[in-house]
Amino acid sequence: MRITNQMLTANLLRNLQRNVERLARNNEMLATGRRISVPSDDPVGIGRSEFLRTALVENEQYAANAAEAYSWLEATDAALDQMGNVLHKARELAVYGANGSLSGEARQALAKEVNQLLQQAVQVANSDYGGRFIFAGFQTRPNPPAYTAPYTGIPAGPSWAAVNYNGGPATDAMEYEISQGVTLRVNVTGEQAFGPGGNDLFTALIGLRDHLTANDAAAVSNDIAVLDGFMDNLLQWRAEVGARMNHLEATQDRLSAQKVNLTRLLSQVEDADMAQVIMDLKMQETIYRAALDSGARIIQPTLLDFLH
Amino acid sequence: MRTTFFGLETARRALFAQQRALDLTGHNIANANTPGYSRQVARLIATDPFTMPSFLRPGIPGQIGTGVEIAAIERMRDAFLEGQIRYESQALGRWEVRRDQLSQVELIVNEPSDTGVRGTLDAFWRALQDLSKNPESGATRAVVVQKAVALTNVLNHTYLQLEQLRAAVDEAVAVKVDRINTLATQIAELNDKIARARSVGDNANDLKDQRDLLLKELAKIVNINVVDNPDGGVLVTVGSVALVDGKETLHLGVRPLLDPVGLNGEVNEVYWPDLNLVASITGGELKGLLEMRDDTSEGIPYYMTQLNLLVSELMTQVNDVHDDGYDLNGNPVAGQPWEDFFVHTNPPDPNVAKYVAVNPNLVNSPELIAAATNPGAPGDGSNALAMAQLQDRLWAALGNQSFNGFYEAIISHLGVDSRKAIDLAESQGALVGHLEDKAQAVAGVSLDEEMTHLIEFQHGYNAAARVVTVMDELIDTIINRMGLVGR
Repeated sequence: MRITNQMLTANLLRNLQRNVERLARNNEMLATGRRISVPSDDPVGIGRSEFLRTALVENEQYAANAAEAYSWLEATDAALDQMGNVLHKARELAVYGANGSLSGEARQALAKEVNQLLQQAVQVANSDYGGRFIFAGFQTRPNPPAYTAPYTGIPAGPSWAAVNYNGGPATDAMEYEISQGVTLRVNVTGEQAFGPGGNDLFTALIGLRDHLTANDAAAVSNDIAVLDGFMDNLLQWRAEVGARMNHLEATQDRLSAQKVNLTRLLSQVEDADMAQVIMDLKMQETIYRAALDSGARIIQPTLLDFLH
Repeated sequence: MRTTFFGLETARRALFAQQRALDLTGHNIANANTPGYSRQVARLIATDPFTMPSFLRPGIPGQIGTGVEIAAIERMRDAFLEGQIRYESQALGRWEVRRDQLSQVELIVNEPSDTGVRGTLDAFWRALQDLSKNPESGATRAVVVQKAVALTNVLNHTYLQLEQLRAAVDEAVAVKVDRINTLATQIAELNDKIARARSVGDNANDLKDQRDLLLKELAKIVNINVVDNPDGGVLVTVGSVALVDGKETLHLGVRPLLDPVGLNGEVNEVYWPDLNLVASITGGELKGLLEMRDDTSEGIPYYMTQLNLLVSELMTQVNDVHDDGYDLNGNPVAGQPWEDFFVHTNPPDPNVAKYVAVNPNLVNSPELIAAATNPGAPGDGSNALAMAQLQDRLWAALGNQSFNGFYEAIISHLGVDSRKAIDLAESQGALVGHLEDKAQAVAGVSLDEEMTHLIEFQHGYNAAARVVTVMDELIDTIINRMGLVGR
């Protein structure tokens, strides 16, 4: 083939351009640390990258949801524990008060103690998490009054006739999504844990107090069984809360394992293999230098340089 | 019988021929770097010998050579390769345009990143999840509004940029048509000059080079077919219509056409004004531009319609869940001005993605977001959760894909298309480059070669001059020194 000077220079320029392009691409990968800067860098990889990025965001959200659900359940568990203690003390007082040899004055004293416990129980039932009543179903806001009023706000003293439940029904389920499509109910309503309004453990405590006040040993004796019933229910709900917490712990473990996997996969798709890129860059550089060197040699001389 | 001055005449012809060849070598060297220049060679032939056969021929042994002359000045050119380059340039022009425009689209969508549509969509879902956990919180509600506004802003902005890109492509169509007409006029002028040179028996080599260069540029812009006319001109056709025929041209033009995709008002249609006929454009940069403007599966309209589809389905589904719910005050949102979460600010314009916005009532009063499924239940976030869970549902309108899955498919499609255009433009560029190398191998000026010729013709000239000297001395002998015997 006949080679002309224009061909030599044009070819040299074209090849140098291609070399510089590759150098620039390698340099970009090194500078950004990423293999994919625009979709055309890897059309298959970009789809996976977009999917994994979304999956990671979702995973983080589920982990945040699970953590929040766990805190809520912890608060619930603590409240139920305290309520258990209150009931336990009330039962002790009832057993003591059922003793036939006890004087009327002594029962009056016990009644005052039960009233104290009643106030304590109301306080526990008004526990909140982050300013939201945990046993009130969807009626979590402190305004208007409290959702389990008149647990509070009614004049203190042994004259408390009733305790009203202002929270939502047992169907007020606060569901948190803890993994794709899987929700977990985090709340226990007052009606569930403490019995339905009008027939709840507060009514039982009020009954006990009134029976003690009335010096009715037989009725006090009956109250023991009633209190035991509420105790059983409370324990059942603690077990339920515990089971939900176990479920959450397992989910959290799975989510964090998944996060490690997703991050690894995303890195595989998106991140540049530094060792590889540096090797490539070095190789490209060598080729580029060689091309410059040989180019400089070829395009300079013509026959003119050797004619005299 | 040979005349006295016969030898001188032969030498004179040699001097002239060598001189002319030297001039030509100089011309070649001068144009060594001229684009499109083909090297020229002088076709040297021996002049008619003496004597010609006839009854009156002198009785000497013949034939005697009479010297040299330049029969023609020819340009070295491979017409077949030229045709090949023109043909392949059409595909090159088309793919280069597609490559450039698609890389623009890639810049517009700005993926992979956390600030593109995918990132802001994910952030919106996250905000809804947070709302489902804290429906009473004003701050959480404000975040939902803020993330939703960010999402609609990104959608509006992305769409607007796509629309502007499409308008720029449409503008480029008109510019290219202008360029085609300019080139056609220049080619027709050259045709005329070449035909006139040819009519007096000359080869208009340099003019033909100029015309070939113009044809090459034209071929990259639009699909042309080139046929040589007997008078030295060329017939250039686009589709079945003659753009240039000899010195005549038929110009292309643009006229407004109702947008075939139905997204914008009008676009430029390429047509033959004199024939009132739509031009058939099948190759070149113009084809690439038209494809990018109009093709609903590989052009800009694809991204626009897909984005519109995504947005309208997102609006429908989110609104459908939202309007069933209750706001923080416990009231149903159904029937209220804030019933819809997302609104179309300019119905019934088909460019939904450009006009989607968060309901201004909700922006002003985030407490009106219907996070609850139950009336009068401030702690109820179940409707917000139902909205958040739309993220993973599959939608028939989106080809049984989730919102994110659908968007990923758009981006993958862009990646594949853009990669294809990059690869094809590169391989087509390499092919045209290779063909140009081959054409250069025939037509290009080699300085080494020209220097060698220079020496060759210089020696020829010197030798011819020497012949003149010898002849001169011979005649001198006869005229001045003969007949002096014994003087």
